[in-house]
Amino acid sequence: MDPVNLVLFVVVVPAVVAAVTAALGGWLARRLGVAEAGRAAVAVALGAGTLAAQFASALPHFPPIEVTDRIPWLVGLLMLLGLLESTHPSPGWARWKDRLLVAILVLALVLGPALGPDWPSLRDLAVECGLVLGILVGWGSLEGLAAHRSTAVLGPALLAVAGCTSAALLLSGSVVLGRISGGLTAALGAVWVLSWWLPDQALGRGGVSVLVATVAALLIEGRVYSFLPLEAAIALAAAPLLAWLAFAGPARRLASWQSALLAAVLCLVPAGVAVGLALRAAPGEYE
Amino acid sequence: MPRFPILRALGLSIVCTFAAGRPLAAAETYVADPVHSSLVYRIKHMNATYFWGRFNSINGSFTLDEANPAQCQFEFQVKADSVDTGNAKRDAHLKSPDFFNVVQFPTIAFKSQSVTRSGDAYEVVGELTLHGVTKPVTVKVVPTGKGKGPGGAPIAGIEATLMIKRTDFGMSNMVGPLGDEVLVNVGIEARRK
Repeated sequence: MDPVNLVLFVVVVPAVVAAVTAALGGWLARRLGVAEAGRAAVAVALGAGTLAAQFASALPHFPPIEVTDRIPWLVGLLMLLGLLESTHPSPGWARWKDRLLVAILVLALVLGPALGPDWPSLRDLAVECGLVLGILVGWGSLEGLAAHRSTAVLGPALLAVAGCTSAALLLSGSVVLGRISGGLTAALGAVWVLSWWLPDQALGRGGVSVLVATVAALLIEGRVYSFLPLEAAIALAAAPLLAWLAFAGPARRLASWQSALLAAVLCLVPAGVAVGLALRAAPGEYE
Repeated sequence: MPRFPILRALGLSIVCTFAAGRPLAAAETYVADPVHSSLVYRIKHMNATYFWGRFNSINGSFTLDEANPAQCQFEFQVKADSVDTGNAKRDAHLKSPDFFNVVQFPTIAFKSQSVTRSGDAYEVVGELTLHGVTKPVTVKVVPTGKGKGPGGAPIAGIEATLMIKRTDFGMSNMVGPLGDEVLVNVGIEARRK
């Protein structure tokens, strides 16, 4: 893999697309008097960066041929959901209903082509219910964190998890999944940097939806269609939960930058283990 | 009005057959022996050289009819999961959604639709299903021999060659580092049904 090509199309282009989308989108939304303009811009920017990485890798087929061709449709829908979540806040029960529907949609889009003729067996249903529950727990947890902490503080922890997800997917056999995940990471990085100057560009209610459901789809695809070890997928999915420890108990007294650093380190432990597991499972090198 | 016209026609056909120097061959159907059948392919890497890969699981059957090539039929199925390039990491990559996506598309299949004779070979037009996409392709099929197998059963062999563009079948990742055109060569040894 050409490293220049990799840096350009997986890091630089998605980051620039996300930064421009977030800055211009936020400015435009504010001009139009849209409530929560910054959150709306972040949701669209994360999706735009992810799509930029996938389109730079290879244009998806229309109509979709294979499972990866479905990712842009999911991301597009998540951008729309994120936009609506931020501009038209709905009551708590309605947000949970939306999350449940999106979690089921993620499974239908990603697992659908792999379902055998004997579906649904009891085991299948148990696994799928577990996945939906996992997505909902991760989603609720991250929304909770984003509601109490700024993007500037939360950013490093999420960047650590997203970056490790990208590395683990790359190691597990699919370069394209790694590149899409890398694009999401770069977009998140751009949003994080922008949030230093524009604090209203927050991840909560909008950006989190794009982040959680896209990462869930990529991890499930990496596990089912590629060779991502199950333990690595679980470690990556669970890693953001550890960020809570950086904001609870005695850690509450820490300065913002200390909390950000602690959360990043805590998340990096399971995420790093996941990369190690993917590396160990990888059968060797080739170019 | 000739008497016994049917007998005369029969006699004429027997004379013609022997005059041609050989009996008319009936259609013979053969079932592939996976152990002695192979599918290898060739693709260009970095625009520098060709490297070869193979699939280790191939099944199929064919019907040969020398007298009436239009009656010939060829079909084979390959398990995509059996791709083997001699490098485990590369095989894993080839099985992933970046290329064959073997979970979603476990089978590669070919089925002939029309056959014409072309010298010693057959020109076979059929449908190839690869990566979930079915497209018409033209395959050159050469009968490579006949004989008896170890158990004494009649066997026959064919070699099929075709050139495809992988992008025609939706396999469009990494075109550039890896070529688009793929030369496929199938050798099938089969036992008469």
